[in-house]
Amino acid sequence: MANFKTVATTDELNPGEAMVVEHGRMWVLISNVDGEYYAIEDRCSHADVALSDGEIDLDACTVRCPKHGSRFDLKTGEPLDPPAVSPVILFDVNIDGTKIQVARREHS
Amino acid sequence: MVVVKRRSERVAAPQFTRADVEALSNDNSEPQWLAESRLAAWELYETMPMPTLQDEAWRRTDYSHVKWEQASKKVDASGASIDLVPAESLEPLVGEEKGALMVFVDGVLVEYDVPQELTDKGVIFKDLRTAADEDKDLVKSNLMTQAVKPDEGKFAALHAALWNFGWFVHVPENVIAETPMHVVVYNSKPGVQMGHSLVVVEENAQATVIVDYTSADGDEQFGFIGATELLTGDAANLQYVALQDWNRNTYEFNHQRARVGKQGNLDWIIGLFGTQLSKNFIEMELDGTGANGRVSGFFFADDDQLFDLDTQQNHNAPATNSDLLFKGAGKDVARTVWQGMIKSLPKMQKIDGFQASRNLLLSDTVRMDGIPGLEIEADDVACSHAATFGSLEEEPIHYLMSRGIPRNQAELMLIEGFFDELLQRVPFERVVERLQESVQAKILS
Repeated sequence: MANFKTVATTDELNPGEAMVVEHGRMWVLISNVDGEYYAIEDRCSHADVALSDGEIDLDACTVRCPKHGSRFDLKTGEPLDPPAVSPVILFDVNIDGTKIQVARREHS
Repeated sequence: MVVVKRRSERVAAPQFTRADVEALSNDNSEPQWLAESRLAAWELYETMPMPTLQDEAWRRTDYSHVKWEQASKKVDASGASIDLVPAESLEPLVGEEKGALMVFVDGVLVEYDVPQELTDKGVIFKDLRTAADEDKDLVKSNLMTQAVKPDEGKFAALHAALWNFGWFVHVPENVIAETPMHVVVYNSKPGVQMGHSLVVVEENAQATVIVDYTSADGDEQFGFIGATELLTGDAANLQYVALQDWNRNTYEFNHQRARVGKQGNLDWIIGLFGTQLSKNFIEMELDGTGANGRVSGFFFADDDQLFDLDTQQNHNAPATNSDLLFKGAGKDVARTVWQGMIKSLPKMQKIDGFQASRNLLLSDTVRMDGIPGLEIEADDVACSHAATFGSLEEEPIHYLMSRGIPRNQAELMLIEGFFDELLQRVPFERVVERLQESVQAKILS
């Protein structure tokens, strides 16, 4: 059972918006794409910079690292372009009433 | 373009004022020289910016999660008692002897025991504040003047201004302190502690010092802004062990530096397990011809811990030897960084410097960085470095399982095997056991 932690409320994040919240040591980028919520760590897996400082395209569901230009899929955390080769850490999102909760996705 | 909202704004720096520095000196009736040096450090602190991700030494250390209103809060030390300290922290770590013992709880000295044998030899082992008064000349000439200096960083300056407890070890010339000296530091309450370790081993003297840092769990953040100074004189021998297992709500910023004189020997062992974030500068200055320094670092990060370790081996004299080995494991989404440098000044010939960082990745999502470096300005030297990264291989696990060993036990055996190279360098059986226990706790967590 994932350990969900409430980090925001739904009225703070309307469709077409993104926000950065804190989760332990990590900053998490949550996006609301037409009512679907996605969350990834707000840090490029390649160069250690905040992805949220880059360009977010919710139509394409991507964020582009401001430093070297790798795009990451907001749904899966996977890199879509070099130089990044590793995915960023992915969070599961749970909506409990108006609470937005996230939990780090466990890997086997 | 999507506008990104940021949910929390943080206080960006520790919340101290000059009045805190003055109050610390006044409340403890500190000698004039110490009060003045604290204020000088405070003035320096105020001129320095907080480190940022744009600074090279800090570019992998995002400490923006520190809630300084908690982590720099003054701790109310009432109720500090040795009864709070877990029994295992009080066990002897060298042989069966208890040795000399100092126990600090929430920055307060709650237990102090020095065997007569050490006192008879003129060895000083006492809390730093008392020593600053009673052994003024020795402390004044060595406290943040030789090794860690206030001007080397924002946190070093802050520590110099506001350290609130510490210990002073002084072994006079030609004295062998056979009895180990053991310091236990235990924090039971959230807030800030600034502990200082000052160890001076004079010419041809010898000492063993072991420091054990632990803390109780807490919902609010703990801050530890520390400094360690190890001064090893000519032909002196110092074995220094520091084991850190703070709780997961601790943010640690530590400056540590050793100096080794002519033909001196330093054996420095560091174990790092706790904290949410630990930023450590670990530096060794080989100042005299023939000085030897060995640093053995053992770390294991799990969950979302961040360890950032900067090591430096400075060969400031010819024919000096340094040997640094850091072995670490990481699991879950932990992050570790080791950045090392061997530096030789011009004309420092016949030096032998080695550094290695070996890393074991136990999950797909852990990230471990190893960045070795050499800066050599002499041409007759043997300096080399290495960094390796690997994960557990299926084949040996399968082999062990085929002998009836369950998978988790097989993995643990391989992980212990990975660390064995480092444990071989630790001459104290109980310290080895403690390190092994910490590894097991991490694997099973």
